[in-house]
Amino acid sequence: MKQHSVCITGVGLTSSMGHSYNEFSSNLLSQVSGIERVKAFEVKDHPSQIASLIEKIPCPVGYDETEFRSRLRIEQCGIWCAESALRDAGFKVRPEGLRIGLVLGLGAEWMQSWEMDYRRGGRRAFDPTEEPAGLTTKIHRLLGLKGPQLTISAACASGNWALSQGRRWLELGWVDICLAGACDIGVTPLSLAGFGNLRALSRKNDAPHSALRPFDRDRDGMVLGEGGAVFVLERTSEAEQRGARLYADVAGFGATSDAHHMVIPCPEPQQGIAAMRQAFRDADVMPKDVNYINAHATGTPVGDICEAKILEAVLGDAMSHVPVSSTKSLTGHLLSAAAAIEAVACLVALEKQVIPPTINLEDPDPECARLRHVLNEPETLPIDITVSNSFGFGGNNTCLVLKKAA
Amino acid sequence: MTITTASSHKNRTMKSCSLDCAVTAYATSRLSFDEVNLLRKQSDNLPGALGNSVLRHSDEQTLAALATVRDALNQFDSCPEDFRDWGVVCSSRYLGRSAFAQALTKFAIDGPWNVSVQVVPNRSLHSPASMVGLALGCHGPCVGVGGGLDGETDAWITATSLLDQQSLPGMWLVFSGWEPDEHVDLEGNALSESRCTALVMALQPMSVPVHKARLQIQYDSLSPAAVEVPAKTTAFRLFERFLSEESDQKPIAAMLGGGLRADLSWAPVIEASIPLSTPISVPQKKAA
Repeated sequence: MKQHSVCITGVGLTSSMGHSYNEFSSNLLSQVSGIERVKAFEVKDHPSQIASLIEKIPCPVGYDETEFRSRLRIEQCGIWCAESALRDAGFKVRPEGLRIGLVLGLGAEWMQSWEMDYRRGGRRAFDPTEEPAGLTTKIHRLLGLKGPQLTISAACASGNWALSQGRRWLELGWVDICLAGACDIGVTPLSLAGFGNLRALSRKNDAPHSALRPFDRDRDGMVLGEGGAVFVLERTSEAEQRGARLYADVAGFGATSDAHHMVIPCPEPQQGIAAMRQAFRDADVMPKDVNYINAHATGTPVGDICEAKILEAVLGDAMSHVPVSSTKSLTGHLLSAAAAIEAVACLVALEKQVIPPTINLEDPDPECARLRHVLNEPETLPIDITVSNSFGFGGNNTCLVLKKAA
Repeated sequence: MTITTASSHKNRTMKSCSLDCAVTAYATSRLSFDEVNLLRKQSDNLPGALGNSVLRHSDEQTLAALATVRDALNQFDSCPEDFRDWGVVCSSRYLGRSAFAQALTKFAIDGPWNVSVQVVPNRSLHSPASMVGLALGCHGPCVGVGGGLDGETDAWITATSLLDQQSLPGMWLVFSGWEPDEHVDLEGNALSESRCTALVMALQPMSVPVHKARLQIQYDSLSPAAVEVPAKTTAFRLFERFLSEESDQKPIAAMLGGGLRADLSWAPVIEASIPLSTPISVPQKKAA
């Protein structure tokens, strides 16, 4: 039951392509790829040796730099994103009694924490008595939030889920404002090895910038990335009342599960199609109305073809004119945070009226060639409605519709 | 859905909703390390008969969840024909700790080429929900929530809000964890005696004709904003108390943080052999 329109009024992010909305926007549209050879740890024995890494996550204003740096990077990421989102929305000082909720998409928080702690000489992986609170609780406490909190994971679709749940809490009246987004610091030695051995990662180690090639015939896998994005969500009527900047309406969401395999996407696209149609119904839009689709397209041989089938079925006759791109070609695949950073890419498209391209798409795979790709250069078009697909391990399919705020 | 007024911000007049749903089946399991690992070879006795080769890579908490779902399936008064449109919300606690500890040690010795490809797909927060969804053929939302000692509250909130929002026929709510949480050595072997526990509830809209208990999530201005870490009691123990004779059929409340609370109460027993919502035909009446 959708009772209220919900909009985005603040954005906080960190990625290899910038630590603010404006910086990210500029780099996205200038096609500055954040992918390079990994230097943070030894990779000579890894099958894939490239990633999209953040050199240093900024310390928020008012925080003690030494204390901030002593935290694990996943914590730094979450704190920076949440704090800067609130500031961006004008909540540098929070009114007393304001119920702010927090929904974070975190797929492998504990594994990453255990590994980072182990590399620092810690023993948290072995001893539960050393275990602190989870990241969502830590941020909730640190920011003094009074609303409910939630950690949610649907693998690489977690970010879309977080936005959907934040919107739901606003509709239910459980919160006045909700922070919703996702973080992932997934480029660790073990994770790079695990995904690499799974043959999910590109091995074009000598050409980092051109390695990730969604929809291209020469694609050979994804490239991992790290970072996150957190959004401030508000009921539109209240955001308008206080004169907030409205980035976009969170207009629709759809989610289904394949129930097919823990890793491999279902070759039959019915559930992906159903997720997109749910989101369209929820947003009250028709395929022909859509101005931009940010595809999940990770650059894996199987996944991109599956998504092309889904898009063909959903768009039908509109396929020839609805532009599609995969911004992962620039950002890398941020895993649990992928949907969140791709929602930022949709906000950029809505604000600038420019579609970010899929770079490295030189020779479209014949099975994906019928889509209306935005190839290698940004494209200026009127944009009112954007759609972002995110799919994940375990057969998770999600679709988010963001509309230009009135 | 019931509407009640609740707003703590003086400039805001938003109303807050409480969510109600029916508990139509439930089960609990408490398994030793050996018992839970034996399930890897008993695919045929678990929902979906996924095959031992699939279960071989699953986390112990996922296996316990599957075994408990099997038990819950036998508890329905009126078992649905299939679970195609159902969803799954699973709160696991420190999923994959022992396997990951083992992987860390192995990586330090052998390097990247020996890292198992199964760690990420089977030990991430979403994994138990996806596996239960796979076993039951659920195409509704299948998500993992929580993850740590403070994460069980997330499951109550998410399962009920999804059930209400998406017009789903039902939602499997699963809690799993080790009690107490495992201490492991460098090879990932348990150093202390623990039990792998799982609690499974089948939630359905209140409109279903027969149910065993009622779950309500509501905003309460007197409920605390902060989540307790570690939680005073796990959902498993809370439910055990609910089932025990000492509970005397009294409702049980859990504080979820953010001013939300969950209330679990027994449903009134309805002494009817025919579902109340089903019109009785003349031949049926005659037979009766």
